[in-house]
Amino acid sequence: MAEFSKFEILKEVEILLRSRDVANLLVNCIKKLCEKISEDVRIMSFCGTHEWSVTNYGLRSLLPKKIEIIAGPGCPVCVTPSYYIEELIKLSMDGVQIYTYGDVFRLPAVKLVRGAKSLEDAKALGGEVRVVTGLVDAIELAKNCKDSIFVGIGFETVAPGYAHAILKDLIPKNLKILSLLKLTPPAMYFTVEKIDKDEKPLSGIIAPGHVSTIVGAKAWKKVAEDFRIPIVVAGFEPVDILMAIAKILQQIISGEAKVELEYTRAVSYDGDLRAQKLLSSIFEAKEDAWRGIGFIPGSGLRINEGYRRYDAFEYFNIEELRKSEWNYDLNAGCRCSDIVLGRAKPTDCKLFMRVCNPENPYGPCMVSVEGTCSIWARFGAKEFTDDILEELKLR
Amino acid sequence: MKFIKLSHGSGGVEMGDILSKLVFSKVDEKLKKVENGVGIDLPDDGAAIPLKNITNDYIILSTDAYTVNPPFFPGGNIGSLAATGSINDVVMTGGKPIAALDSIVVEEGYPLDQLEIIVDSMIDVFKKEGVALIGGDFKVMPKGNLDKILITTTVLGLAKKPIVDIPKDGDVLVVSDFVGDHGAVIMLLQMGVADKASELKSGRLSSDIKPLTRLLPLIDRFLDEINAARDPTRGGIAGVLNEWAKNSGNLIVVEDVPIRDEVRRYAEMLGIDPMYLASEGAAVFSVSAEVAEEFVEDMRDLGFENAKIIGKVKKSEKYKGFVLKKTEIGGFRLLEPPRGEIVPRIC
Amino acid sequence: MCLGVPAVVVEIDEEKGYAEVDYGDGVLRKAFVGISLDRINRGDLVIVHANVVISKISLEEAEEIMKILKEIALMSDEEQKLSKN
Repeated sequence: MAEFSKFEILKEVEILLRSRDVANLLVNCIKKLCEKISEDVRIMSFCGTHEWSVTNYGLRSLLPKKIEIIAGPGCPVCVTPSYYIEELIKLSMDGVQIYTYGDVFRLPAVKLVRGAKSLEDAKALGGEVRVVTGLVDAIELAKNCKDSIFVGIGFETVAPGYAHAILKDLIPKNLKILSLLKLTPPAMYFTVEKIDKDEKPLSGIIAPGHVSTIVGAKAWKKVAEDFRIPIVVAGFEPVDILMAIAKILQQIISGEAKVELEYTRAVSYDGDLRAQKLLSSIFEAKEDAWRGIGFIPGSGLRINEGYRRYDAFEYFNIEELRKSEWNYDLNAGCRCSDIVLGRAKPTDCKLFMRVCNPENPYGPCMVSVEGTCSIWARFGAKEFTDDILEELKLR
Repeated sequence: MKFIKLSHGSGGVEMGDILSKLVFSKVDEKLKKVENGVGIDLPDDGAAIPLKNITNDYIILSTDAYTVNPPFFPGGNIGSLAATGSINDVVMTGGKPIAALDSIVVEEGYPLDQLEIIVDSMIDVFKKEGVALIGGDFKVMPKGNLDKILITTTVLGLAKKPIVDIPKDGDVLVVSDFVGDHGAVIMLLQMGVADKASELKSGRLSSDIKPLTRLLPLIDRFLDEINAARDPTRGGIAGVLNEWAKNSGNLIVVEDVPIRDEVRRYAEMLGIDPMYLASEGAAVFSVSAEVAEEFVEDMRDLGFENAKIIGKVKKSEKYKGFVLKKTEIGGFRLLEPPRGEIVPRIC
Repeated sequence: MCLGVPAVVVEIDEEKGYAEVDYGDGVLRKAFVGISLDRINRGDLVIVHANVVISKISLEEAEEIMKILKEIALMSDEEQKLSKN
């Protein structure tokens, strides 16, 4: 039996972090800070889970018009190239057991492979696909089974778990890992560098809280310094995010551009050194393809030479995606790349809710529950909710 | 005879034996038919219900097929679910359930002792609710052609006036209990802990399966003030509210829907929204604002101590059919209709 | 990008680096400890992401936040009182 008193403390904190009173006060404070800033404020919530909280709690409907929250590319599912999904579909139909996360299960490929456009389709057509909550589940299920692949998608957070299982040899011989892991700091640098030259640059970034538990707040220092952008590492409760926004505004007002830590209860400046070491000893960082964005140097993790026997690439002869083949990655007309980079809103895309909707996702941003388009489709854009509130005089 | 054979469903002696053992012998004589009618007291092609001595104006009928994987879960099994589910559908239409038909399809090789527990649970619910089991069907499918068991129940009820769900502008929404318990438990079992049944028993999550017949006096009293009533099963409360908004052309605003802490935590763990998880023992009502408070109090007096007001129905020119949710921190977001399968997410 | 869920560590297998955690529903589930094992003890509150323990929640920091937020919440009470008067 667990110690429930711990949950009680957590519950108390959660109640406050989701408290209407506290949020109201912070919103007032944000409004006052905004008055001191003349230009529009564009803040990127880099991480998909932040974007989820922003929408789930209706934060945009509370913030002053001047502040725009832009969703960044922080969803490891949406940025997984179609090519790998296509390869997995084939393998699943050739009798290889595939274990995958729920959102990867639904991720559509661009090409139709043997009648299937996703692992979900592949399963319906007889492919061997099973949804799991993580590698631990896959290990349990794969024991004494046939050749299996665990689709190792994720960022720095889940990567040490895979590394640990490999290092401690906890994985049955018949289960191989297809490491499609991605690293966030290179991606943030790449994104900000791209948008920096745009007409409307970013005013601040809410940095991913859970990635930071591993890489530490220090990982974002270079972006803050090179592009002079305030960055705040935040937790995922609504009050966490409001506090981070207030901190960014304060930095803008005082002309600072540094990395600040809001998520102190879980993140340190240096991160977890063992996890960082685990990653560098099991994996090697490679140039990797981000769906809708392109190849980013040093942004992908593959299992290194010493641990090849765990590597699905090796065992199943899966070839890596070549740079020359990358351009087919998005469906025609799909603006996911602009949306992922925060350059366009889902409503700017002609396909949004016409051809592309959550039941029939056309582009990757509509696939994952935390993909920007999916979130906008399901929860509605700010303008939309604002309009309803206006009509009903609910504010 | 320890497991189900194809011959048990072939209409012969074996079938007669098994039905008599599983069903007929367990239903009270009185409940084998509606008074003065014909039922499984004399198993025939159909059952007969005399209408001449019934004063109510409407017959309410509801049928539903139940498949649940796994068939046994904390708080009940497919048998209790099949009986309760259809009873609740009748109650939510304003009817007092009086008779039921069942159709059990079972896979060859299914353990008989388990089947017996399932059927007992179903009969038990009907018995406790005074619902006559007046007929049914029993079939066996070859192994591999069916996943264990499927039960269809049809429940018949009587009502002075059926509740047709059209929430009106100005209505107040009331929920009878916590929502999402059943959906959370089934999801829990499907996500790899099915083999940890013993732990689940010590766990704090169990299905909320219960007949809603206790609400009948309330429905009776407020019949003219109730504009919609539904039990939020598949699709959860989000599903019901979206259907209501769409069908009535109104806009619905909800807040503070009661969700048990364990369910909320579990849903957060999988990254799913408990507003979409099924309940099997909760009801949502749309009632006139004038009686809302009284309605909730009466509901609590009937033993639904968690009953509360969760929202309002409003007329909208531009946004017909939408459901808006006021969040914990006072922001607003749309509550979308359920789509696709509920799958856990990594991010 | 990374859905993290708080859980209490109930059991630790030091050798394999497994933790058995309770997410609050009373069911024990396995998780890998990806971070330094010496940071994790039985009874700790941790954050788990996709079966991997990624951080320990610092109760001191949590209580510190609680203190600050309670003050903020109190301020809001006072503000309301002021506006009502």
